[in-house]
Amino acid sequence: MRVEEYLQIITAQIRCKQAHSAVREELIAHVEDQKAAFIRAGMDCDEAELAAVKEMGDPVETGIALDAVHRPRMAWRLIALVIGLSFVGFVVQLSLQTNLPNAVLIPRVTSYLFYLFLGFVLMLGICYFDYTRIARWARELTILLFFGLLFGLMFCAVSVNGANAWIYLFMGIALDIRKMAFLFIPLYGAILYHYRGEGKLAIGKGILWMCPALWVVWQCHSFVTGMILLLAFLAMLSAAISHDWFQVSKKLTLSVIGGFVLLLPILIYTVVMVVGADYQKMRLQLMLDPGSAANAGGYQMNIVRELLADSRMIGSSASVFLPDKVIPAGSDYVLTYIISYYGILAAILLIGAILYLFLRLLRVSWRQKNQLGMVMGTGCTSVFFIQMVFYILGNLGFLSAGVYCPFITYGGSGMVITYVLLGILLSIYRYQNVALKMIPIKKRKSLSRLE
Amino acid sequence: MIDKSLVSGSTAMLLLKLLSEQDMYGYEMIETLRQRSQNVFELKAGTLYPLLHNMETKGLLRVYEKEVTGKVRKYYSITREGKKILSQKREEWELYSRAVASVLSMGGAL
Repeated sequence: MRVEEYLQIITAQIRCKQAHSAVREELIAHVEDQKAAFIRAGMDCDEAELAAVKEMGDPVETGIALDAVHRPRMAWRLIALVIGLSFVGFVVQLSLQTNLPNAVLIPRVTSYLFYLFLGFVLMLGICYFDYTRIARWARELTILLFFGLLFGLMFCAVSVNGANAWIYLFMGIALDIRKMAFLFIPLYGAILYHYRGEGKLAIGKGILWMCPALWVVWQCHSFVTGMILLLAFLAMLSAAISHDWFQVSKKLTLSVIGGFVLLLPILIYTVVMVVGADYQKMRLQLMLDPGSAANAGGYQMNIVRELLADSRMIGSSASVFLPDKVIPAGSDYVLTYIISYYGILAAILLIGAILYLFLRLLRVSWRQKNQLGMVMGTGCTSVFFIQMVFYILGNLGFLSAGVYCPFITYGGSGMVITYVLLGILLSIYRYQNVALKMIPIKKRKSLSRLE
Repeated sequence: MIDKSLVSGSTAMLLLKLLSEQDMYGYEMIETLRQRSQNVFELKAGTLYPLLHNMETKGLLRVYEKEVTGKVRKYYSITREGKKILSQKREEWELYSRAVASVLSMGGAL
């Protein structure tokens, strides 16, 4: 039997197609090593190949044994949770809109349902896709995304509610750049993966590769998105370092990153106060003391705080029915409305359920043996968590920015990106036991205990 | 020449032992095993790889690909969990082989 026939019989037994490529590669390498040994022992090329293949053993038996290992797994419970939360979120928003005067949470119901459906399709489609295939082109894709978003921002920008962070596509559809930017996250994980085994220089390169995303976000002046990206990048870098990816002092490097994160608030305050535009300085002042500009920029924050002031554990507050207590950007404040209309307990339950989903996804990522999956998953779940923190702060009146929360915020781009990230996480879960094509380490001569 | 069933049970332990000393790729493991056992253990690749992949799924090994002299090879590396399992299996083996030796050496007739 020749090599090709041997491999065909083996892969025919392995039902999960995504494992074929990696299995073939490994077995071919082995046959070649064996063949080389036989040639050294005196056989001619053809003889050596046939003998080497014979030496491998029975392909059917081997194939069946491999099939038993490389089985994909579907996270049905998590998918059910996602679908459940999606519909609960939709129903809650619709109910609030129906029962509260002037609360416009879902401007166009058909639009919402369309994006929800699109989201599900994308999520399940990506789930079946071999995520490592993107990994190989991570750097190129990052550059492409960078130029694509910048180009869109420069030539097709359209202002929505005063924010210049949208790219107009066609037929009234606009892309929210602040959400599209989250696509940099899984790509960044894959880029870090390329530098496994390297030393301090890798950390430097890791920091450099954060720049394209941060630059795009800087151009559309979104502080919150910038923070989410930065913290998610640092989370992925830290995860990589703590899993011994780089030849650096773990304790030292992680301490430096930790220190930087702790000093971040002070750093930002200093930067804004020294070089920030007036409106930025005002925003910062508002955050620290909202009462100071009750009638101007702090208007929204104060409405939120007033609404929350008489909220109850269960049931509606009195102020939520008052016509002057309307939050301008209502759809960003669904949590506030839930607290005011359904009560604090209901809000805790809903947020608790969403956080539970994120925690399960984090656990799946962190326990991944596949290191690429581990870092990409950590990145995606970090985005969800950090976004959630900002959302809760905003909805409790501590931030003056509107943020996004999966499942309870209207917005096509936000929804699509959320389900794309969920799809990537489900894909990582699905192929946890399957050998996928890897990106080889090039440098480093000797690696005794790499991963 | 040895009865297969005698070998299969301890193969995982032997591979873990090899990897506890240094990271290796498949062919290297088979060759090392053959040399160290004076040709008694002639493990077939078809048996080796399912076993390695299975151990990786269980978290006993980690895999990475490395380019060495122009060829890309898949290296296996033992994890902390793998080292734990190795010492467990060694203990079981010591117990087993002592018991066998003990039974064989006692009693009268040969």
